Amino acid sequence: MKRQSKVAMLIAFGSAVALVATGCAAGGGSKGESKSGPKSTSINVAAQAWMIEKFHMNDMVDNFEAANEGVTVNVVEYPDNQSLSNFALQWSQGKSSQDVVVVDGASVAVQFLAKDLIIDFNETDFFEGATAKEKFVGESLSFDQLGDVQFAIPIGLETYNISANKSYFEEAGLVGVDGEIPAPQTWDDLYDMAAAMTLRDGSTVTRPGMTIQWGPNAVNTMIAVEQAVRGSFYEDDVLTFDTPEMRDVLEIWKKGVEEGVFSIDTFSNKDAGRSNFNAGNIPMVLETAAHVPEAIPTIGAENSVVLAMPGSAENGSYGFTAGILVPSASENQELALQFIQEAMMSDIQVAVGEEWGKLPVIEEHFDKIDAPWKTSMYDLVKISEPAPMYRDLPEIQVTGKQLLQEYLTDAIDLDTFLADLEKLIEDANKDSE
Amino acid sequence: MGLVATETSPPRLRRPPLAGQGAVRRKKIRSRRTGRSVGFLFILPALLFIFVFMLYPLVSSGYMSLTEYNFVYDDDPTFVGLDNYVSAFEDPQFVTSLTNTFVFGFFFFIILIVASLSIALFLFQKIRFNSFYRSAVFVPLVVPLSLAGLVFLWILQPNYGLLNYLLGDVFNLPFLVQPWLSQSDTAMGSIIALSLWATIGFETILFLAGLQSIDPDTLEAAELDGARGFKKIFYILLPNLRETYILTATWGILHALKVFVEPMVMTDGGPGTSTLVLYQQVYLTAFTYFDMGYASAMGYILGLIILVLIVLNFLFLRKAGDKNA
Repeated sequence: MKRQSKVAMLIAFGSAVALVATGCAAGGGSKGESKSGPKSTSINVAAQAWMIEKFHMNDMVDNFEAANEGVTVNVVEYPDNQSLSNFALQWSQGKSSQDVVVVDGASVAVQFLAKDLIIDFNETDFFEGATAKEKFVGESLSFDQLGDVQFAIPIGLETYNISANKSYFEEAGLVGVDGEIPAPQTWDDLYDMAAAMTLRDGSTVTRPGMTIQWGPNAVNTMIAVEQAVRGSFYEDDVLTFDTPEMRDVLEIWKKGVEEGVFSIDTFSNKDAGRSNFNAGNIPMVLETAAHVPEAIPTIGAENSVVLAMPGSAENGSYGFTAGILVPSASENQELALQFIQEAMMSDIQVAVGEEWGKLPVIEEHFDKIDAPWKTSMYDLVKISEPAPMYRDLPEIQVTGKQLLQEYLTDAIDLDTFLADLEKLIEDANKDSE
Repeated sequence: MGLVATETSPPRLRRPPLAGQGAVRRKKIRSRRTGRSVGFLFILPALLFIFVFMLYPLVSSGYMSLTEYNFVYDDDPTFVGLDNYVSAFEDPQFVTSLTNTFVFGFFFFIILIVASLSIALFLFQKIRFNSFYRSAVFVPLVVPLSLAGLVFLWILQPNYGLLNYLLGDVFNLPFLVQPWLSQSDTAMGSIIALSLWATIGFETILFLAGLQSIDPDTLEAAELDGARGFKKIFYILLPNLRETYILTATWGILHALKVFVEPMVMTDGGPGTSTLVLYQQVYLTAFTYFDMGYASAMGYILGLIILVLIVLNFLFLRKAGDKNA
């Protein structure tokens, strides 16, 4: 190769190496870098698309910017919880493009505590003034708490229960003399109700009686149901599903699937139950009960009701909230906390609750909600339990869903299903950090 | 020896340069060298791209596959040698997803090649509305695969989907109504159907290009010799597509084994694990469990399998071609 060619190749190679080295160097900032400095005037708030709409985030931003002249808040959309891995990768390099991150189901954020990738709100002055701890509804802060660490601020209290369309119950003669739907006492009762509302054309089911969330959140559904029927989903402080109560429920689920009483649409489309309920196409759906207010514009306030699943009125269910995180690597933490305090905890929560059933976490806003389902939903939320904060919870949720679907489609029997699930839980890392 | 050599092959005398000739030559050489340097500058962006976005990640993930590294929990990767590769074959999730990938790949590949070749042969004929048919075959290519997946999700919806409506209500065939995506056997078939819908157009165009590159004289001579219909197809057209087979089969293998979007959008790998494919498992391991080392190893295993299949395909078709020649 001629000298000039070699030189050109060398330049090309050198440039490439320099570019990569620059990239690597940029990623090597230390975690301990000072977050202080000149007061920031701009923050980035990352949220999933549905959150931007349902939490009225653009209104929050407008109000905050109007009240704080010269401050800019950029709302950045991310698709789903799996995008959190990209954030975490950046945080682990001591950088963060986001100053506030809203996550779906705050328990997913526990894993970021291991390397202190997110801040502990207890170590800030967040819980002062309008957002003092006593201003929060009931035990709502405990949903996002691990030991003494407040790793997220809850927003939108929710619980798993049955959203019911009363018109179908009336049609099937299942409404009591008081005009209310009698709460099912056992899963057999619930199965009978669903069976009575299942429509068939010959041997083909044209309308199942109920849809249960057996998609990506299937394990949460099992947690909710077990909490309700048994009062706990723990045995010796470890998550378990191999209990006589759950065995009964699982057998009823299987029978319901075989007979078409319970639909399995959620296997392939997690939103199938909610979409069909909102469209008035299905009598009952078991997942977050927040769909009750959500369906009011289409099926009517008189028809959209919360129905307590067996045992939940006494024992509660699975409760959860979206969570607001602040990355430790954020350089604008002060402004981020101010935004959460002034905008996200503002009375915008009232509209969010009334429209979407995601209950306010600040008591003052909660009291302003005027809806028939408010009390029944809150009664359920306050006795509901969050998911276990295990390091390997994501793996339990993914593989647990696969096993449940295999059981429900007869690929494995009940004993194999439960044995495999218990083995999965046993092998999982159950440390919180 | 040296003396003999000197005697038998006298040194070549250099012709003395003519006046001004040296300068011209030097100018020519300089110009050629400048041209080369400019050429390298032109390929510099491509070189940088290959290095930064292909070579560096390839080497980096190769190293990562030899480590245990969960970036949310571990400060640094720990070197574990080939442990991740060994563990993969003991992991039921990996084995299931690999098996599913092969099942998908086998049926997808066979149907893809047969169907696209058949369509290409059809479109190679002089028929009415040929341009329209060609455009129609090509149209699915412009639809993003994820969007097509969502449309198929709606079409295949069990209670209110278009397919079941057509089968049950329009054609009065209720026994054919199925929860297409919620039962194992039909779910995989549905994913294969979407993939074929999305890719047959491209393969057809490749085959069509191959057919059009056959020398018209050969075709004319064959016709004069009485080769028509199937005879023409089997004895003239198909044997002349050897180079095209290599290209289409390579592309088919690649697409068959790197399947990801279709099950991700339509079934999430379910019901159970019946449509869980390997790249989905890699994605889950990397971005849900944050286990980068193990995910990289799984990715490398599939990459190696694809490489081996493509090389085998190339060697097989070349050998077959040599025999025919």
